[in-house]
Amino acid sequence: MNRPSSQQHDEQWVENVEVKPEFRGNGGEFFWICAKNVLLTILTLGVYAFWAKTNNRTYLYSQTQAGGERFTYHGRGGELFVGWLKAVVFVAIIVVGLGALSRALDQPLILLCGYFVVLLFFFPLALLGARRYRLSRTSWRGVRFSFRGHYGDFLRVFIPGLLLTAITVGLYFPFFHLNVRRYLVEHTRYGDTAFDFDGSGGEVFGKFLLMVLLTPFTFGFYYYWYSAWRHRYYWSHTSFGAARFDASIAGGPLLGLTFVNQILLMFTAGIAWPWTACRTAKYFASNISLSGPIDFARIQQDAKTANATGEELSGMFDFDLVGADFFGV
Amino acid sequence: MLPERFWRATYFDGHTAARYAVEVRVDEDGLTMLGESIGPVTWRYDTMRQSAGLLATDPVRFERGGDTPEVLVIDDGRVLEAILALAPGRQRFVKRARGFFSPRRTIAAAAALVLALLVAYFWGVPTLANSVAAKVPVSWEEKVGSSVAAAVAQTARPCNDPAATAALERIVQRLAADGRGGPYTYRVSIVDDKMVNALAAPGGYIVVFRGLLESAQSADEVAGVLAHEMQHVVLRHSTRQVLREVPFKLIGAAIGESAAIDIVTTVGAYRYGRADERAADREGLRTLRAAGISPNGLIAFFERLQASEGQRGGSLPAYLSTHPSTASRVADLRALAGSAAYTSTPALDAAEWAALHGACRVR
Repeated sequence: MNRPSSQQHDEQWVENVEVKPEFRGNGGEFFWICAKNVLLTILTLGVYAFWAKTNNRTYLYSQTQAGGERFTYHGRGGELFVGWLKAVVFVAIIVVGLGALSRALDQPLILLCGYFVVLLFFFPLALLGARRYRLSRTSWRGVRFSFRGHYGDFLRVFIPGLLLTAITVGLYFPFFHLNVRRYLVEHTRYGDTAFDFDGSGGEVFGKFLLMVLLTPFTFGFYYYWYSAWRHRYYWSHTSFGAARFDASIAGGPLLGLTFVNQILLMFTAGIAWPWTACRTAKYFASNISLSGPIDFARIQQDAKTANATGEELSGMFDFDLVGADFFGV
Repeated sequence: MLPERFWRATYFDGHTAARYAVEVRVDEDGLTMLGESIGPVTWRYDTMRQSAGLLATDPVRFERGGDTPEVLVIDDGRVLEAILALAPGRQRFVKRARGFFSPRRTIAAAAALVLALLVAYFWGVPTLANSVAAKVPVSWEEKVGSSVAAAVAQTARPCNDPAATAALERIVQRLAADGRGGPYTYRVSIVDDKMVNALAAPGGYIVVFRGLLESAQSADEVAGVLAHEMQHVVLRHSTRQVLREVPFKLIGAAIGESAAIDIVTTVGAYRYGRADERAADREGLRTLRAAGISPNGLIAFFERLQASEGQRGGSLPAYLSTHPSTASRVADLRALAGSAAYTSTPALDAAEWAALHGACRVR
């Protein structure tokens, strides 16, 4: 090979590009990572679980590529561990405080209501914290993602939405779900460029009603078609600069994916998990795309997110249980 | 053959998302990037790090700088061998591409893991749980049991009936005499609930529901049920159950998939639950015999239960239940009790039985 003669930026132009993600991992590789995780977690009586979670993400992210470039996960197990310790102290203070208060006033009801209120405010905090943490530790083409939402703003979306959903016996739910999604997407950035969302609850409402009516009569199967439609709707109303996302997730394949994964897990006592996780990642990655004009050279790194002061605070809410999946993040 | 010095690479400057196609030359003291718009730039080996490329199929990734570093990606993993050959003494820097095990070995390992799990599930964990359960101090069990009993009592009206409670205690004393009750102090209580039920919490706490006392036709029936419940305490069934679940919960936490693990532990709980019921039936009969109380009470109680189940029509399949089917329990009890007759006296006298039968009526 001779000395190179011509090189340049690949994309100095601003024209239509299509960015198609692709998941390249496979269960056989992932299995060895998971096996090590399980072994070490048992040997350390659970402490290694934070590093295990990080190992999993590092593998799954690094095996996902878009436009030929791999994603990179920069999180570290120690951060999660410290975050978890803080969360434990935080929760312990609340539990002990509420218990003392209800004993002092001899009102067991205070404890119950207190827990409810705490959960109500804790859930959005955790949802935001987890998203902030994960995005700040994800990069592509050397540029970090970030989340710029504020807890106070988000509460104004979350609490009224939840209350309206309760008052309307669930009829408001599609609006609530969509507004949460909108908030999460619109405050997400890649470098200094924001994502946008222009979906509307009214357009989801009809499909939602149909789902509620049909799901019981189809043994629950129709839910997968609704879920697939919602994925497509949400993605096709998400844009990045002048480029727009699109998704081809469909009900049949989604049902097949879930069904086969459950069967695999059941018949192997869970050992097939690395394979099922890769199957899921592969399906979603290969059914989402971004196309339109993108000027990569103008997307600036926004360095302050990389060492944000609230890093550890947000890391503390990096639980999987808080429904990041529920909101399709 | 000389190692290849020039490698095609992609460079990201860490400031923008622009991609630069470059060529990299492997030198003795560093990697030199050759590109039209970024000119020859050398990354000295001691200023850079390798952050990906451990898997043989992954691109190799080098970084230079702090939190938002410059990135150099080389798709061909053989560049690592070239660096090792062309820059001797820099080995500390390079993380070698590590081939993963072959598919055949992965399948073999997964199969071995399934086998290990099966052995652990059917033999290792229960054996371990039983030996640990035997070493759990009675005082710990008592603490757990008292809170369980308090929780049950809270869900129903308490039954303040000293005569009935005294009658119940008399039966328990008769059953537990001569060390048959193990190292436990039995505390029986009655709750004012129409359910036909009784339960044993660890440490000797036994709760009897009013409905059971009402539906029983004789003191011997109540004695039979008590003998059964006391054996759950003596054989430490609850303690073992908790200990059996701990390892699986740990695995669930490790892989972050607790739903699948919950299915495993629940089915396990049902399986062992049925075995525990049979053991309590068997040992309960032995206790009755030693205490000189007729086994027919316990059998009659289950026969009535069977008849009422028949009326309701159907019951859960055996594998979905914590208790064996009543019909099979009656058959087993008959077989065990029928082998040798013994002289027995009624569990209570007529006045005591009347007080117990009509428990909680007088307030």
